[in-house]
This record gives sequence, C-alpha cells and structure tokens, in this order.
Amino acid sequence: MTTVGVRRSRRLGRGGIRRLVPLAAVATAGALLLSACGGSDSGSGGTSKSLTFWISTVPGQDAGWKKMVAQYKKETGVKVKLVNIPYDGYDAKLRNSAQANSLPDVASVPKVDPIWANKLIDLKSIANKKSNKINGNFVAKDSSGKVLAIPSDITASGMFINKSLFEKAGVDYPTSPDKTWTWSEFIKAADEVREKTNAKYSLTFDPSPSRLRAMVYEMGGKYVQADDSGKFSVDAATKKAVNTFVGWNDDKTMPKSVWTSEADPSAMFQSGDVVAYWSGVWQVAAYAESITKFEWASVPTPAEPVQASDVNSGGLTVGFNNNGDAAAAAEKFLSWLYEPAHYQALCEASGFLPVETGLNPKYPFKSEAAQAAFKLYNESIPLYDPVSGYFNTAQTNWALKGKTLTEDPTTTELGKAINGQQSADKALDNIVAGYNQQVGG
Amino acid sequence: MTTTDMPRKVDAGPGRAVPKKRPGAAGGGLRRAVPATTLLWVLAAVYGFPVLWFVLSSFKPAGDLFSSLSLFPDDPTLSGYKAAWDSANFSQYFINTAIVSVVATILTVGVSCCTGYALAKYDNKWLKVFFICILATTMLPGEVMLAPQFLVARDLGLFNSLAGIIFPALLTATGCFMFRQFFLTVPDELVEAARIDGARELSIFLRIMVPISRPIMLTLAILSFQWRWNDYIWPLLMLNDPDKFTVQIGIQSLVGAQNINWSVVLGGSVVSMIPLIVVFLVFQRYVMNADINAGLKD
Repeated sequence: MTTVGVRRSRRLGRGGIRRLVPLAAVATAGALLLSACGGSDSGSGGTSKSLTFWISTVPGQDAGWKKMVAQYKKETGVKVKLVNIPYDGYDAKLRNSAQANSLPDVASVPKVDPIWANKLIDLKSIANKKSNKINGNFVAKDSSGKVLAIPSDITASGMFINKSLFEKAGVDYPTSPDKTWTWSEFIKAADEVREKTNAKYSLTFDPSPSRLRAMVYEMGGKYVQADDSGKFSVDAATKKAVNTFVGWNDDKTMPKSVWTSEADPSAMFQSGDVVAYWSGVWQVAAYAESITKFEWASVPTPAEPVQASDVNSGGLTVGFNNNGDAAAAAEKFLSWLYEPAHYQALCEASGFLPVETGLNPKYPFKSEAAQAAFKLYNESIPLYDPVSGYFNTAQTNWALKGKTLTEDPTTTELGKAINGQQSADKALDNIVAGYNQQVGG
Repeated sequence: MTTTDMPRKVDAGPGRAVPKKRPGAAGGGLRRAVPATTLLWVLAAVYGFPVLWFVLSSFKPAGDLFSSLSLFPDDPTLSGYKAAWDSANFSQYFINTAIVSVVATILTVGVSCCTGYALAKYDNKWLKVFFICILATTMLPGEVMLAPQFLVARDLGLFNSLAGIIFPALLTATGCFMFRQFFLTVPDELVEAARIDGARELSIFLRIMVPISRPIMLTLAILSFQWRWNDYIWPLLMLNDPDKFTVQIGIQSLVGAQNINWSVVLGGSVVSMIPLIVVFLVFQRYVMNADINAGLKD
C-alpha cells in the first residue's frame, strides 16, 4: 500500500492540480449563482401597516392568536403576520436573530434575555393603564421601572386526579379551594385508592423544578431563595418537604423512573393506571381531547398549611424596537390586545388563565372536566400566597443582570437522591451551589 | 450418514430422501444457515418492532395512545395526520426541504468527490494541511461552531434563504474521507494508462474516476439526503420566513413547552419519514449491487 503512495507522489504532481482549476472555477461559479437566488431580504422589522409576531404554541392553542390578529386586521387594516416558532431552539433563535438584526416586531417569548433586552419597547403605558387591571406581580420591569414584558397569560401548577379510580374506591376528594386537603391527607387518599383499585402508582409528579417548588411552598418552605447579598440558601421547611418528596419515590406511591430516567408522567397518567398527577393548567386543554377512557378532574392544590402554587407567566409578550414606524405600530397593537374585551377573547380562544384581574372568560371546551378545571384555577390563583410568584420575578431580575439559570440542577440532583446515590440534604446543598454559581451574587 | 449406494425412491420415507451425490451437504448448509438466519430475523424484529409500533400508533386516536397498549389500533383514525397537516403549511415545508435536500446532496457528492480525489491522487503540502483542516471540523461539536458559522453565513447574505442552509452543509468531513479512502484503493496505473492514451486530467477525473466511484456516491447521497432532511437547529436559526421553513421545523412546532400531543406528533413524524424511506429504497439497490472494488485489480 505504501508503495502506491510513494509512486503516486512522483507521478501526479502539481501539473494535475493546475489542470483541475477549470473544474473548481465551474463549481464556484455554480455556487455563486445559487447563492444569488436566495439571500434577498434580511429586513429588520415591519412597517406601520405590517408587523411580524412570533409565537410558540402547539397546534390548537394558536387559535386565540389567529383570531385576534384577524380581528385587528379587520379593525385597523394593519396586517400582523404570525410565525409559530418551535419551543425547542426558540431562545437560540431569538439570540441569533438579534445578532442578525432581524427580530420580529412583537413576540411572545419564554423569558427575557439580556442579549436583546435593550431592544425592547417600554410597555409601561399598557401595563399601568388602570382599565386593563394587569396584575403587576407578573409584569417584567427593569430597575428604572421600564416595563419590558407583559405576560400573555399565567400558568400555575395543579393537581389532576383520575376521578373514575376515586369513585371506584369510594374515596372523597375536595372540590373547592376553600376546603382543600393537606399533602399528607392527599397522599393517604391516593394510596388508599391505589390499593383498592390495584392501580400502579398513587401519583406521578412532573420532573420539573417548578412543580417541586409549588409543593415546597405549600408545605411552608421557600425553596431556594437568595438573601439581600444574592446568596442562596434553603430553609428548614424546604429541607423537610424535599425529604418527604424523595421518600414518596418508592415505586408504589410514586414511580422512581420519572425523576431518575425521564419516564413521561403525563403518559402514565393518561394510561389510566395512576391515581393522580401533579402538573399544571396547560394540560387541561390537552386532556379535554386525549383522555377518553376514564374521567379526570382537577382538584384544589394541597395546602399544608400554605395555599400556594408556582405561578408563572405563560408567555411574555414583548415588542421590539426595530424602527420607529414598526415600534409605534407594535405598541399600538399590544395596547389594543390588552384592552379587556380583546384580551378576554384571546384567553377564551386560547385557553389562557388571564393576567388581567376581573375578567370572566368563557372557555369553549366541550369537556365538563376542562370547564371545571379552568373555573378552579381562576378561583384559586387570587388565594395563593405571594411566594407563588417569587421565581417568575427572580428570573427576570437575573436576566437583567445578565445571568440565566441555564440549567436548574434540581431534577438531576434529586434524581440522584431518589436513586439512593446521595441524601436529600446533600442534593439540596448541590442545588444551592448550582444556583449560587449560575445566578448568585 | 444415511447415504447408501442403493438407489431409492424420492418418497421412500422421511430422513432417507437424501440425494445420492451430495452427502450431508444440504444438511450442513442448513445447519449453518439456521442460526445465522434466526439471528438476523431476531435482530430485524428487535429493530423493526418499535418502528412498527410507532407507525401503528400513529393511527390510534389520542385517547387510546396510552390507555390501551395493544399493537393494532382498535379504532384506526387519521385524525393525528390531519391535525398535523392542518397545523402548518406542510406542503410548502415539504417542497422547501426537498429542494434543500436534493440540491445539497448533489453538491455535497460533487464537492466531496472532487475533494476526495484531489486528496488521494495529488501530492501537495497544502493539500495535506487542507485535509487536516477538514478532519478538524469533525473534532468540534456542532454546537460550538453554531454561533461563528451563523455570523459567517449572515455576513455572506445567506440569512433567511434556502441557500443559507445548503452551503454551510456542503463540505463534510465524512464525505471527503469516504472518497479519499476509496480513491486511495484505485490503482495509479489506471490514471497512468489514461495519460498515455492522451487523456487530460479533467477527463481522467470525469470519465474514469467519477464513474467507478458510483457506489460511494450513492452511499454518500443517501447519508447526505438524510442529514439534510433531518436537520433542525441550523434551518431554525437561518430561516425567519415561515414560507421557507423545513419539515423538521414544522414537526418540532408540534411539540410544546409543557405538553405534547403525541398523536399529532406521531402523524407528522410518519409523514416526514416517507421521503427518506423512498430515497433509501431507490438508492440502496445500486449500493448493494455495485462492486465496490471496481477498476483494476492490483
């Protein structure tokens, strides 16, 4: 083999390369021709008559946006082009678009990013407008009071039960947030249902820091919070709650696989073999369609003794300052959108929990369970302790300081604790260290 | 064994009807074939079963997906497909992706063939440096190069155009390496003989080297088509206009932040698989049939 190589070098010299130049030239010319076909508009922003609006929703849940955009076109003649961006990669896309100077005019984003935060329009006039009654706790402001984003909706953690199993076992459950149960009572009831009905597990619990936070808040803890100097710590109630949580993962009350190896808790609940599921309001619309083999219900969040949940903004509506005309048009559109009558229509069609207080949206679900669920969420949210919105506010503050919690260590560390690789307390220490490292100080 | 010199009738009885001239040959062949074939069938089943389940599940209504773990849908429905198709402008996405995949595949094969040939048959210090540079691209994870690549593509005016997802993908180390290794096995005598006959370098390459590398071309074509068809993050970053989106962006937009409507995702995914399967079925015949050791024997 090597001899061939040696001979090759003698025989085929530089002359050959020179003769290949025409081929290379042809290839390059072709390439240039092709690139000329594309790459036309790298336009930055719309005009006063045409705006681009990026959203990120799954099919069926974009109905509200479509409706509002069509109505806006009819009333004002301004065309708003909706672009649905997949959730996975949305952050990266926004960052890159900011670099390429091609941000949309309006967007519903998952979180504020320091890379483009300086390009946002101040939405103060909309957020502070009295008649809009926007809940100020969820509005993202910077230190100067500039309103960067207003939530399109809010989301909250919540409990789902397999009503059929509860009825089969003859176990009662609360229906009103005024008379809810404690976590201990709930687990006892769910275990009883499991034993009586031979269900596989009592509860599945989203492997999400948000769901754990909600549970910790309800058991009187504050989860991981920073003091004035920006140093994170956990309180005693949090430690107790987290230890209790880890203890539930015994493959009877809760399956270990969800937190340790990414089994899908929602799929487990939909199989009908699980008594209850700790997730959130976003499942309601999906379950209205996808659960047909048994009856399900939303039940009040447990309180032991704190009535709380983890309440977040569903999407943050922002306007980008691409050019004077477009920015003015974007602000006008958002201002129109958050007028209570229009906003209520958006919530109804999209299945949103409103960020504006005093609305009474009528959701279009045929499923009674879904209607009852939304009623329950809308009744519960005003009752929740202020701690429920802590994380949502903290996240925006971190972003404005240029920090992001890119990876919340909660799921990984508790997964190890559930797997018996470390104690729950050690897991909490590691989580606190992770927070300090990423968003501390 | 049971062979005797006595001629027997074929239907003389079980175990005795062994043909005279092949003592034990058939039995031996069978003995060797049975375990191998069984193993292959088991492997095929192991790989095929999830795919089969995936395809069959896509015909189940959303409510059945998790509640009945039966293989066949009790009540087959196309609602997942319909919802997926209606959710976005999928026909446009298919056209876009087809353009991207076909153009990128043709160019990738062309570029890799030229590059591989030059790397294998010409000797130059800078060619070696170039080869190392190409290899180096495989040593960095794609995510690391995403940002710089994006800046370069943007400054070349490729942002928000299909060309922007074709060009950055053209030069692949795998393709160049495949062709280089192949052309190394082609004996230099072939080139020499052509030169003696008065062929120019370009015609040697186009009329001799390109045709004998057909199996490599087709293999790379399948691979490249698959890469471009399944590409997600790069098209997402490069394309802003929904009229230019690709199928994978459409499929991903069916997956939400908090919940996934599996029946819709399954429908969309099955549809997106079809072109890939077609490409494979068409091209694999050539790949399997072609004699990779084409050319002279050394």
